[in-house]
Amino acid sequence: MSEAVEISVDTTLHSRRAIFETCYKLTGGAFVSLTRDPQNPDFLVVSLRPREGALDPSIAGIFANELIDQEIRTALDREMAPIRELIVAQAFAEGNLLDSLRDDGNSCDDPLGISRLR
Amino acid sequence: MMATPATTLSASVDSADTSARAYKLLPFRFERWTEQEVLLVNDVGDFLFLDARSFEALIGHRLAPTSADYRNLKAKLFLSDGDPTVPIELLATRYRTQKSFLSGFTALHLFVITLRCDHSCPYCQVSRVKESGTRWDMSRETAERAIELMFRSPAQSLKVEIQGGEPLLNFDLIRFIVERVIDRNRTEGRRIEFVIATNLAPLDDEMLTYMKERSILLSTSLDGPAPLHDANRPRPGRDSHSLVEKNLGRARAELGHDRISALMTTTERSLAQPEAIVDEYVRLGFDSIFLRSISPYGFAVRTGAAARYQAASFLDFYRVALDRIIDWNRKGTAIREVFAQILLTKMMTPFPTHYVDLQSPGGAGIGAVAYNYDGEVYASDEARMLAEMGDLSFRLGNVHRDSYEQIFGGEKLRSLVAHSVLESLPGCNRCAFLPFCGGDPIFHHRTQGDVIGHRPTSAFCAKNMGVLRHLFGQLRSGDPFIIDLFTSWATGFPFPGLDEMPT
Amino acid sequence: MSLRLQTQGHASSTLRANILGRIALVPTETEVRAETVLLLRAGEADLDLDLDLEGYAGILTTGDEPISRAATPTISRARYLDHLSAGDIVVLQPTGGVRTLFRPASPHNSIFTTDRCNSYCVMCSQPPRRIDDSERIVEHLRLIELIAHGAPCDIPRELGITGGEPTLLGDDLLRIVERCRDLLPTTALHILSNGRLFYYGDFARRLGEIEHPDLMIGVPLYSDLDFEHDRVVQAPGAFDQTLIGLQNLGRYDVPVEIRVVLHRMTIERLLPTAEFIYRNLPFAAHIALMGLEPIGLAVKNLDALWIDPRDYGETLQAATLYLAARGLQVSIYNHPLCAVPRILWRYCRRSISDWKNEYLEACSDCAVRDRCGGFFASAVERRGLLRIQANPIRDLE
Repeated sequence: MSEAVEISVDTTLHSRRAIFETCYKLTGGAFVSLTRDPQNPDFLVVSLRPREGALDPSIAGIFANELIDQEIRTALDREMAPIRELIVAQAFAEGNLLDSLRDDGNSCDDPLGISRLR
Repeated sequence: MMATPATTLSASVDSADTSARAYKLLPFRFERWTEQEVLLVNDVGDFLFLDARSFEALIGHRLAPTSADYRNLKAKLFLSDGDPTVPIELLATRYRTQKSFLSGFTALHLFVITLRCDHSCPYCQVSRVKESGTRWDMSRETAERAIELMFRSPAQSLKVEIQGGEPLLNFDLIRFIVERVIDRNRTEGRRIEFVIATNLAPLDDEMLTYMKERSILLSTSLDGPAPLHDANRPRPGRDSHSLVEKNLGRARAELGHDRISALMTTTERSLAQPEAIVDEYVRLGFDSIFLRSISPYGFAVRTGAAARYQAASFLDFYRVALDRIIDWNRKGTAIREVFAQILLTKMMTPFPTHYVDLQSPGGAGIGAVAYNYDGEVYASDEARMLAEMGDLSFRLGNVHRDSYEQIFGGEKLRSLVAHSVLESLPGCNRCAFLPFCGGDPIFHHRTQGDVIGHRPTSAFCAKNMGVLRHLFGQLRSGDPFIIDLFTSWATGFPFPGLDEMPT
Repeated sequence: MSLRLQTQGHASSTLRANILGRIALVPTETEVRAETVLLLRAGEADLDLDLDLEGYAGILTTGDEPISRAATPTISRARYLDHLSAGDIVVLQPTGGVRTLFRPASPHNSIFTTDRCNSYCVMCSQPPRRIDDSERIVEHLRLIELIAHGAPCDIPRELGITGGEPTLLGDDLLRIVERCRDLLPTTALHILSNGRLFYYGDFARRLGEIEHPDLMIGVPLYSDLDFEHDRVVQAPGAFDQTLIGLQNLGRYDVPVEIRVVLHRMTIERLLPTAEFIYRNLPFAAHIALMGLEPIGLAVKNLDALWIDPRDYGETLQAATLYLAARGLQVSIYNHPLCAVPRILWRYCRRSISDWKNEYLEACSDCAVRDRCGGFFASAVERRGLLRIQANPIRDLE
């Protein structure tokens, strides 16, 4: 496939972040350009041209699947961000950011009642 | 990062659904492994394979708590259904351990004590073959200044690597540096290790006696069997290989077999003979070999398809060589591949590695530094090579003109560090292999003209992804011998084999 | 036959509180009498009016009260005393009870710090009691003193600190460790604790700051999953507390041992638990995989817990070799060699305390009996129910 391949992406379904990540990933084998569909402004047209030789014949399918994975990654990144930040913050913190008792808690005071007899 | 208000973050962590079946995802990245399987890797490098259906259930928060996948994901800290601060603390401890190289700061100090060399290897544009005299030697004053700078590093363990050119041609300065460092360390109390990187050709008995006295390690170059080695490493008389072999024997007899290791440089010529190279290492009694990719320093840089072709042919070479290494082990000869070992340690153990090219942020300057013969300080040996090729981008300063603060706290090093944090690099930040990899801004500057680099065409990325995929594939294949072998490489402990007698 | 560790007699009216002392079989110098319990043979004392019994911590006899006992606290008409040797340390109780606290001849000596516990493990060998025994700290400290003042050859190589849950003593536990550091610096100290109270970082830090030269704290971990561990120890939240506690101990350089008791509720997750330990607690100095002692609550819960070790050999092998291959020190406790795959023999230790350690008749012609840990007396007692059997090893290539 030495011709350009054009893929139309619905921006009401897909985030700009996922579209760009997907395009970036394909820039190794293709020249990628993005334009807005003049007929339908909700759609972006991704145009892929081979860097050398020909495009992978299944490039449109690869793009579509990668777009879904990048969408998942975007959602996961958002969901995981607070905990991810907390892990890094705790890793480099002097004290305990999660529960100060883990740092300076006194077993005699036992505010959590751990020593309650069974 | 440290100023992050804990209360805000805790609140956002705690406020989520607390119903019995609710779980939170702990940070991980994923890669499609096959059509049916997904590879999940968390931020500290623990991984597991999940079938695609379970993966979809997992991210949709629909995974049944009674399923085996759920239990394993929970135990491996990919999800939390209790107090999330406990797994967060466990992960933070792991993360801190893995980033411990940061608090140690620069541990590896390269002293380039002369550019003179008796070899004229095409992959080294640095050596001055026909020179004599002291024009290309490091002076004692320069060495002394470099040693002072080294001791400013907070690292408790310091590795002094003396190289050239051929450093044995300036043996007096080796003595000077070693004695000076030992003397200086009487008040410092650091753990010091000396290594000389040498082609072994000029080695004599007096040098060996001294090396033994000071417990100096040797690292030599061995590119493969004689024809390949001698073609890669030309020397008047074309006898490089036979000199290595002869002097290797002498050095081992004097210093001990395990005191000499060898490094291999892969050239295009090498790519055709992976098995012969491995066999030669075995024949010469080495227990390790480092299959290093083709160096972009000293060669014309390949771009585009040529670069990808080169990366692909290196991977072919690597896989065949690794298979050969595994075969030797199967037959009872212990030999390990060092690059695989570094990656496997990251994949299979909770411990950090100290390989500066696979760290985030990268190790240039903050893990290793090179003091050139003329007093210039470079962020790495590669940065020094670039400078010899006329590119001074990564010259951090000069031992005579600049202070420790200027060299190690300056804008150049800060920028190098900032541009080698994988979490912020395009193409890396979402990659499942991130916890195992590094940024190598100097490589990308050299090959792509940009410290950040373009991952989809990066030979560094292609190689690391290729090797990692291969290693994961080997582990996934379930061959118990390979799993045991890789475990022993990763952990550094021999596997308690079935053949051993119970006691 | 298991050893006797207590006996009963009649206390004199002068024995008003527990008295600790070191057994002597012959009269001693005046200076050491305050630490000495003199053991008199029946008839030896009641005949000799002139016997000098002044100044001893106590007198112990199977005979009648000696006439010349003066005010020395005495337990007479003891049922038997032949289990006692010179150098043993005993406590004489006003109830007439005589309990052995320390035997120099044994490698398994422990200070039982308390009967209280904040967990209630389904297989607990000594179910806790909710009593206030905090005043026993005085005796514990006295015991350490007595051990230290014994003959140099009687200084133990190792001393256990156990319970109940020793950390419930709080600062008093730290006093015990300090006292051991000062008086028994060459004795390895091994504390058995559920580790939960080390959740409080300050407690772990202060234990670390004592800098005992040879301290190890053994902490059980029964699963890599919180709810399974909590179900075994019957205390919600215990898994999280123990984990953070272990992390804190690691942070303050207190050497920790992880102990996993193997039974029906823990065996399934044994390998994943080993993996969990390696990933999250790689600083563990020792990992002990322990066979179940069928006594106490374990008997009550036997149906839910008992599994023949021969039925989990494969799992045990996988977990043991997983840990060993990673350079972790791993031991298998409480398993006779014939119940364990031969490749694991090198990890088996003779761990059962001498006083409750037995062998079966069949063991007598086993080639490896002398290095086998044998059985718990409690298991031999229930050998029919548990289907315990020995498979004597004959072929040793």
